[in-house]
Amino acid sequence: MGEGILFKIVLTIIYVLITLYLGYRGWKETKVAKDYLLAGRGMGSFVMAMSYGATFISTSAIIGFGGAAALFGFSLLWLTFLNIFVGIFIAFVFFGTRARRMGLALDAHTFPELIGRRYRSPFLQGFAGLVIFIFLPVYAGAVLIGLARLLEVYLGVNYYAALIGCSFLIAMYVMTGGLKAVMYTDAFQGTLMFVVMFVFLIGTYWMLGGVIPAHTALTDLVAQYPASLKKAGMIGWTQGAVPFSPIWLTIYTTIVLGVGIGVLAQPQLSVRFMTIKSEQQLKKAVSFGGIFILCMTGVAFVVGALTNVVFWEHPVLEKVVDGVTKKVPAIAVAVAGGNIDKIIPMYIDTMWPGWFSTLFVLGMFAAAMSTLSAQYHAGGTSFGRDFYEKYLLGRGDTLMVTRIGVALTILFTLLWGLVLPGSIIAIATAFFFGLCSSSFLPVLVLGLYWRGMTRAGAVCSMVGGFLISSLYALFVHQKESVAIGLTKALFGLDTLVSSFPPMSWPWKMQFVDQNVIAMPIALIIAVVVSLLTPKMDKAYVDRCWRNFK
Amino acid sequence: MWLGMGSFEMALVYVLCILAGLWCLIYGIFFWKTQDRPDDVRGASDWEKEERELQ
Repeated sequence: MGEGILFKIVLTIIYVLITLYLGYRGWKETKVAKDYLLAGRGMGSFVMAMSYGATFISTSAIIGFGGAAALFGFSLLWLTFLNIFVGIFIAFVFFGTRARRMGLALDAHTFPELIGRRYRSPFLQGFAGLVIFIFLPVYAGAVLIGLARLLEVYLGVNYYAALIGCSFLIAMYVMTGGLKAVMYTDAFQGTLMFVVMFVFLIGTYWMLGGVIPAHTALTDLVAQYPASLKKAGMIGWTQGAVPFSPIWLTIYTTIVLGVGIGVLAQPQLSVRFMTIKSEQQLKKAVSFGGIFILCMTGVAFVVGALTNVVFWEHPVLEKVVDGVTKKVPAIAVAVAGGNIDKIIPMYIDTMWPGWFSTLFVLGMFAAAMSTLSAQYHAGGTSFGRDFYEKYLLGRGDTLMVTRIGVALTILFTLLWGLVLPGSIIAIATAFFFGLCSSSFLPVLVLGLYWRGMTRAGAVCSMVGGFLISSLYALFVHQKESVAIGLTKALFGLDTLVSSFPPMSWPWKMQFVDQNVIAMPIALIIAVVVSLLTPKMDKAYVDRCWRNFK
Repeated sequence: MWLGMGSFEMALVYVLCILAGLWCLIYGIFFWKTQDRPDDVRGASDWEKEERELQ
């Protein structure tokens, strides 16, 4: 056995042992439903912030979006800005504190329960729980596939064995230790991710002679920018895109707004606000969260874009010139043979020493495992607490039915991972973000801030947002519509707007994310219906508001 | 062009990301300095019992 392989195996075993120990600690401290569902409402700022961040950032955010930055350049940094400013600062300081206060007033243990009790509607709790339980495993399936592929390449493990083995390992600590185990392991995994990405940034800038020389070299490389992307509206890596061109609409509505705003309505993230022991701890957590996210997506996007300079100045692409094989300068997407998911792994393999390659892969394990464990937990609580207890057999042993829910979520995730190809699942991930934003965000925001919001307004907004988002994705938004193929089967078109003249506004709508359409409509529905329907009982609303000054 | 970027927009977003991260760091540190104190919040000890009483 080579020294390199031995080093990989030893580090992996140490990583797994630490994860299992923290999972065991979570299990030892889990006595009642509040511990399992909300980590006993006693988490400190560091654990909460790292858990939120590590859940937020999965492998695809670093490898997938890092590869996308090698194509779209620094324009993706708008997503990093939104991730920090909206996903951390606004979320923690404004939504988080209010969700925690109302959650305590209503004794809510899950995100759907908070919504259901705010509007005194078991239907809303059950509907939200069912949407999460059905669609979250599809998103989790995408993360699981990425994790299994990584294990396959890194340790040579059989793909299907990796799929089942990873599911079993995470199931061990999520099913037994609940949210305490999830958050303790998240904090360790997040710390590992932070160290890896920090070294990744410093090393890349050092390799290219510093910050400004690196950026200048990328700016000067604009003549090599792919012609197909220029035709669609991109100018260059450090030049951005032509406003309102098809590619500008894709970057700014799907990637930046879809993911940047969509994060506020993610159930597995929102529940973190209800786990913290005091408001002051939540405000302290802002510092850890902001720097963590800057070091995750910020580094992935900057390094992803700069790989073009690295591969140009340190050629690795081999071509036969006059019968002789030579290494020729090339941009990142050419080096990766057109597959952007390979850009970051190829950069690590060809430019970094073996010890860092091993650390980086462990960091990616951590990113995938921390996201998956939170998804399993959120899916399980949605089934047990929000759907089963509300609709099927009434109150039961919450701990037991939630554990069954976690097991079912893991099983469905595994099935998605086995059945669907990676490309379809990546699309389903964006679909889940869009679905959460349009179904939950208006109901959550107005519920936390507006006493006049009514149950009818919330029901119409949530169901309406869900239907508009789903129908728009099925029939108009090109990415999902083409992949699912229903529009083609029914109407013989890729999308319902494909037949409009190219570059007209109706034709451009196929590049506009469903979030940008469905969420504002759901918001308008909520306000209009609430203004037209009878107000909720004042004594009840006072109870919801009793922790607000 | 600023910071070696090819457009003002890209230089702006690069700086905004760093400023947002630093803003979060400073905001959180302000609360590190203050003494940890319990919240002025009331939890519902038995939500369903309260709900029955209210109805």
